[in-house]
Order: sequence, then C-alpha cells, then structure tokens
Amino acid sequence: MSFRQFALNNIHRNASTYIAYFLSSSFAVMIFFTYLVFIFHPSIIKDQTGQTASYGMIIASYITFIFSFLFVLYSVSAFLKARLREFGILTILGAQRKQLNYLIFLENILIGTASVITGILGGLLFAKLFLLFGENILDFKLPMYPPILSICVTVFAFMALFSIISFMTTIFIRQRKALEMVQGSSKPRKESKASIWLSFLSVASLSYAVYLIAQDGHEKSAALALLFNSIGLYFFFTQLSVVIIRLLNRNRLFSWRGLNLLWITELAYKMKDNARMFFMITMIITISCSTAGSVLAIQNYVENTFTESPFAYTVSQRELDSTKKGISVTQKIEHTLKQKSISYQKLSSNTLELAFQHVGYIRFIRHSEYLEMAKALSLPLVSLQDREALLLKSPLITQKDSLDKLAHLSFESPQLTNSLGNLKIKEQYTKTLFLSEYTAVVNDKTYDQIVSVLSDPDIIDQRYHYLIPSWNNHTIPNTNSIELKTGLELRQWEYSSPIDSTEELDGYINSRAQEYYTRKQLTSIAIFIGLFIVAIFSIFIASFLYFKLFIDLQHDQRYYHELSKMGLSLKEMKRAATKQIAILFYIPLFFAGIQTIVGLSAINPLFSTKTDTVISGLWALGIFTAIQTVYFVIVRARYLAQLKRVMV
Amino acid sequence: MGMLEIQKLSKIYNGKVSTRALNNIDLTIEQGEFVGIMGASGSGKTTLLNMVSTIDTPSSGKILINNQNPHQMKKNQLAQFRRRQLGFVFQDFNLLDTLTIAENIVLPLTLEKKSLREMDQKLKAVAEKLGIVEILNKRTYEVSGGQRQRAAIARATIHSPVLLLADEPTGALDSKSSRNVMEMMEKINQTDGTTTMLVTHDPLAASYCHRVVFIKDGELYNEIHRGQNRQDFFQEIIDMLSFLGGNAHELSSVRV
Repeated sequence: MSFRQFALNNIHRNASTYIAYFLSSSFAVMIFFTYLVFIFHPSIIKDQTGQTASYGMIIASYITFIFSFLFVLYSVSAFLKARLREFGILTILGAQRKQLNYLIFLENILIGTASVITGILGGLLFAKLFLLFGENILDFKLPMYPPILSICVTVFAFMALFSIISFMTTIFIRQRKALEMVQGSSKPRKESKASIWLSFLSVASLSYAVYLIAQDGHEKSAALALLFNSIGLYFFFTQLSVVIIRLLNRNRLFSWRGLNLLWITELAYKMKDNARMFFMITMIITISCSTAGSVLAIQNYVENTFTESPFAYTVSQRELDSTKKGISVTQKIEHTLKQKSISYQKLSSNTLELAFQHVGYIRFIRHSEYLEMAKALSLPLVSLQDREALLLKSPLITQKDSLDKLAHLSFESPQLTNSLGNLKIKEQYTKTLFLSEYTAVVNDKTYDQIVSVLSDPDIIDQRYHYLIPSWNNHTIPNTNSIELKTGLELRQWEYSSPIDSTEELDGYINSRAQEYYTRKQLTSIAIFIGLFIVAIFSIFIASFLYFKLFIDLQHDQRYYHELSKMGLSLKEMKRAATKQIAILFYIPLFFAGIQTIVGLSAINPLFSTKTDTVISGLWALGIFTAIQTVYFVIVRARYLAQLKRVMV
Repeated sequence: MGMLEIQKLSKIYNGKVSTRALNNIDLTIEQGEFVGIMGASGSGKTTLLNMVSTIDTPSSGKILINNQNPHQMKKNQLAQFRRRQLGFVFQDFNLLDTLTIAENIVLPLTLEKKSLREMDQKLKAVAEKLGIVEILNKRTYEVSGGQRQRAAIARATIHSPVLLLADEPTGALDSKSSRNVMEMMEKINQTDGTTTMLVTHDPLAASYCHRVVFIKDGELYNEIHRGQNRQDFFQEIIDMLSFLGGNAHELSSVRV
C-alpha cells in the first residue's frame, strides 16, 4: 500500500468523519457559485439599474468569499481536531512530519476537488431556483444560461482556497506534540477564569453606550456608542458571562436543583470556549439585521413617496440661454396625454424657498394659487390675514416635534424680519403638497411683500403640476400600468432630446411613477442581495454552531454515558442538552436583537414619520429567528440522536 | 429471599461469531452482605455486573433486586430505579470534571430535587465518614486518585442505595490508596449495612469481602467464605486463583 493509497483509503473508509467537512465545503462552493451565476447574468449586466447596483454586488461577492474562507478554515480545524488522536498514533508509529503534511495536503486537495465539483453541480440546479426567485423580486426576465465564467471563477477561487488552507493546516499540526495529540481533548478542563475588573468594564461600557444613544446624538456620539457597545459586548461574552454563571452556580438554591447543576456548569465552559465566536455571531447578526431593517425602511419610504405624491407630473421651468430656442416640456406632456386621450388638470405654482429659525427651509406659495390646488386636491381651505401662515408638513420628511408647538415663524434673514416681523402660524396640517418639503401658504399681499423685500426675481420657482384623476396614487403601479409606461416614455424622450447650441428643454419632468419604479428597482436589488447575505450568514452561523457541538460530541457522549449509568433518564438528558444547545443558538440572537432595535431606533428620526425602522428591523429579526429556529430544531434532533445512542 | 437474586442468567453476544459470555448463573446475595466476584479477564464478571446494574440486558434468566425485576421496567422508570436503589463505583472514578467534589457527590440528590438542607446534611455525614471534608470545594483534577475514589464512593452512597456495585474500584490506585478505599467500603458495609457487590481482579480488594465468588468461562466455579482473619482469606483467594489456572506471581497484590 503506497502512502497515496493510504490517504485515499483513509478518506473512503472514514467517510463519517469527513462527511461534515466535505458537505460544508461543498455548500460554501455552491452558495458562492450561485451568487456568481446571478451577478454575471447577461440581463443583469445589461440592465441599467443592474449596473448601478453592481458595485454593491461585487462587494457582496467578496464578503461571501471571505466568509466561505473563514467557514472552510473553521470546518477544517474542527475536522483536524477531531482527528488529532489519529495523527498522534501515526507519529508514534514513526510517520515523519513531512509525511503527515503530505497526508493532510492530499486529503484536503481530494476533498476540495470533490466539493468544488459537487458544489458546482448542486449550484447549477440551485441557480435556476435562485434566478426564478430573482425574477419575482426584480421584475426582470432571468433565463438560465451556460455560466462558463462563473464556473471558471469558482473553480479558480476555491482551488486556491483549498491549497492555502492545506498549507495552513500543516502549520496547525506542526505545533503539537505527539503525546498531546494522542491524549486529544480528554484532559480535564480547568475551571474557567474571569476577571472582575474586565466584567465591570463590560458593564460600564455597555451603560455608557446606552447613555450615548439615549442622548439626542449626532454622528460622533453614535460612532462612540458603537465602539463602547462592541467593547462591552466582547467583555460580556469573555468575562461577565462567566462571572454571571459562576454567581448562578454559587446560588445553591438554584444550582443544586434538578438538572441545573449539569447545564450551568457545562455552560460556564461552553461560554468561555465560544466567547469569541459568540461575539462575532452577535455582531454579524446585528449588522445584517440592521442593514435589512434599513433597506426595508427605505423601500417603505419609496412606496410612501409615490402614494403621497398628489401630482402625476411636475415640471420645473428653468431659465433658458437667450441664444437658445426652448423646447416646451409641458407641450410634450400635454401632447402625449391627449394622444392617449387621458384627461388632466394643469395647475401652476410660483413658489420661493426661505430659511427660518428652528425650522429650516420652507417653501412659500401664494394663497390664490393654493386655493386652486386645494380645491382640486380637497385640501383644507383657510382664509388668511396679513402675516398669517398655513403650514403644510409633508409626512415624508423628518418631523421635528418642536414644530407642533411653534406659534410663530421667524425669518433667518434680518432684512425680512425688519420689514415683516414674524409670521403667525394660523393652522398646521400634515399633508403633502410639494414632495419632501414644508410648505407655507400666505395671502397674496404678504407674498408680494416678501418678494419685493428680496427684490430678486430669480428666487421664484415656476412649476406646472398635472393632476390626472384616472391615475390614482393609492395603489403602487405595476409594470403594465399606463401611468408607468407613459412616465418611462417621457423620460426616454427627455433623455434623448437633442442638447446642442440651438435648442434645449425648458424644464425638468418629475414623473412620480417613473421615479418610484427606478428607486424601487434599486432597493429591490439591495433587498435581494441583502436577503442573500443574511441567508448565507445565518447558514454559516448555524454550521459554526453545528461544528462546535460535534467537536464536543465525544466528550459529551462520555459525559452523558456516565450520568446515564448513575440514573439520568433519557428525558432529563434531552432537557439538559436542549437547554445547552438553545443557549448556544439564541444568546447571540438575543443580544443582536437588542442591539438592532436600539440601533435602528437611534436612526429612526432620520426617516420620515411614515416609515418605522424599528418595525422593519423587527421583521428582519423575526425572519432571522425563524431561520435559526429551523436550524436549531434540526441540529438538536441530530445531536440528541447521537447522545441517545450512549444512554443505557 | 435474598436482597439480590440471580436466577439462570445467561448472556449471549450475537455477532459474526456468537459468544456465550454467561451461562446459567445462579447467585443470591443476602441483605447486608459484601460479596466479591473474581475471575480472569474475559470470564464474564463485568458482564454479570453490567447485568445487575441494569446497564445490559440478559439473554435469558432473571435478576431480582429487592424483589423487583429492573429488566421489565420502562427506560425512564429504569433510570429512576438506578438512581434511587443503586450506587455505582467505577475503576476510573467517573467524576465530572466540570463540577466540584461536593457538587459531584450531591448530584444524585439534586436530580431528585431534594431540599438544600437535606443535601447539606447528607453531604456532611458522608464526607465525614469518608474523610474528604477538606477537599469538598476542590475540583476533581486537584485531588489524588484515592481521594477521587472516596468521593465517588460518597456519591454512590449519599442516597443510601439498597445495593452498592463496584467495578474494579482499586484498579487505578496504588496499594496504599487501594487499602484505604477498601477500608472505606468495608466501613460503609458495616455501619450502614449496605449490600455490596464488588467485581475485581485484585485479591487484596477481594479479601475485604465476606464471600468471594469465582467465575470461569461464564460459569460459577466456586465460592469461598471469609473466616476471622483477613490475611488468611487473602491467602485462600491467591490459592484459589492459582488453582483456577493462573500463576500466583501474575496476581501480585500490588497493582500500580
């Protein structure tokens, strides 16, 4: 038997030890490959929004690869640890280090090649499913295609990865002594140590982080809060948790009762061993849930922008060069609408934007123009005296609570204050007239006064608004709606119009359906990628935990076997083991949940009142919890089945 | 009627080649008796012990402990039976290294959800009896083998089992600790009247018993009773062992 034969036999006769490593590597390959099939898809590459999102997609592919790398590295180290004894025996039998390295290298390459092949084959099947899913979310046609490029990239990337890992593992083995290897993990475990001071530090940093967030923070304190939170959390897992468990253990009324003694003491070790992993997992879950939460919130915001827009089109007129001939945008719109025999109502506005103390910019419209719009849109009709204002707050912008109590508007500009004093707020409503802006209505006289004081005709924005009764804004338009088609048509016209020295368009078109559609596609891609990454993370996390459990399996089997002889029943074993696994799975999730909610509620004021980031964050957390629970149930069943075998 | 009744017990291990590990064993152990089981490696003594300790099931015949047949019980019931009625002492101690000595000892009681006061009381009593009070708060890897085995005996007897089963309790100990551990077991047998069944290779350990039963090739071979003098009994055991086929020097009383 040659050494190479030995290596091969070693694999196929020890299939059960290798299978976990093989499957997880194969799985990592599959995920990466599927993702490449998606981003290298011809329709995605051609599409415009696809191009915009490609930056994000490339970053996501790097993240996926880095995590695959960590994941495979982790699996291999778990796998080698389980086989330390075997290496020890080989060393005692006189195998040279060189030969051991060669053995490991050979095994890794064999398993690596096998998992790349099976991963790509599995990925080909899975990719079709993934593309179908993508079609649904993105409103694209994504037919299957021969993904040559993806195959090449995957093979190259993963073969490189497996070679690097086999070199790294030989280093990992080299540092061990033969005796250590033979004894493996059967040495007694020392009591876990924790420092009281570092635990205090953990509590202090966590409370400081909470304090920073509770304060109306700007960016600097948010970054500080994040830093202190991370420090606090790290020491929570490495130190404080051990102290807490020790205290629990010391409370004999609790610990010396039923199964508590078993799982609490075991937990102290599992916590300490896995502290860094816990920390990492918590951070990953927090990041992915907060990102998912924000993206969902943005999508929500995009939808609200559509449903809040009263006008189908708004044209902002612009100054023309005196040398150029203007092409009338409004004429084009009206022409298009007439062609399609769609009735419309055209409204015009002359507005100006002014800065105010405590409030910021407010757009002003004269009462006579407002009345016309108000009639058409059934907005509140109010009669206004001189220097009285009606304030319309769009629900799309960040609300300032102080505004509700405000009785007067005071100009920033001293010029205006001198001549007009303050404006009295007569009434305020939460309605949208102009998108994402505060709007104030003043009577014509006051309006003219303001204009004359400013004595700058350029400050007035002239706009035309088209109200189209047959197109309502209560439901989101689908790809077949006339509104969206017309919007895309006009945009096409706008982009393709000749811009040269003789002619130019006399205004910009804002079409609410087309705006919505473009933004929605961007967020959809973000959501799609986000979901993908969350799915990968959650699968990787579950696999990390799975490996962690199965590395300890031998130890745990011995442990429960002994207890079983003493009379621990099957039911009690299940209860104790379930508690341990549940803690491994849900502790990071719990902390990530708190962090996500706190973090998202801190950024909530940046969004409009209509969008609640916390709720979308809860959605993301809920989905994550559901996925983790599925894994938990599977892992628990597998683990308990293994333990059940040793129960007498 | 004895405390432990073994009737026509046989055990066959099925495999490619079936092995008859035990054949038609009849054995009665009376209340309060201290019985040793001896025999060469592979004679079936550990199989017998596993059967009595309900860890393994017999192929035929039956075992009655206190008139109950544990092999007819359901799994959970059986676990409870083991935990309430039996006490185990193993060669490699089987103490959990995540727990302190005290926690290890009270473990059977915590599983029964006894009150803290009762546990403390029993722990104190048993620790004093076995002379391990000062190591109660230590961890298993901080104490010597003899102390560990005494802790294991404490764990096996804290719930006053009706039957104490010991599997080579001195197998991993030096001769001084062996003597010490056996003296403790004898003391528990005498003061608490705990019926004890001891499986051993070690003639010195066996010499602490009231009666030693010899097994050869899965069958009862002989039994000898102890008279007044332990030294004489020890010699008798050695003689019996060499008669059984071994050489006296192979069975040195010092096992390190």
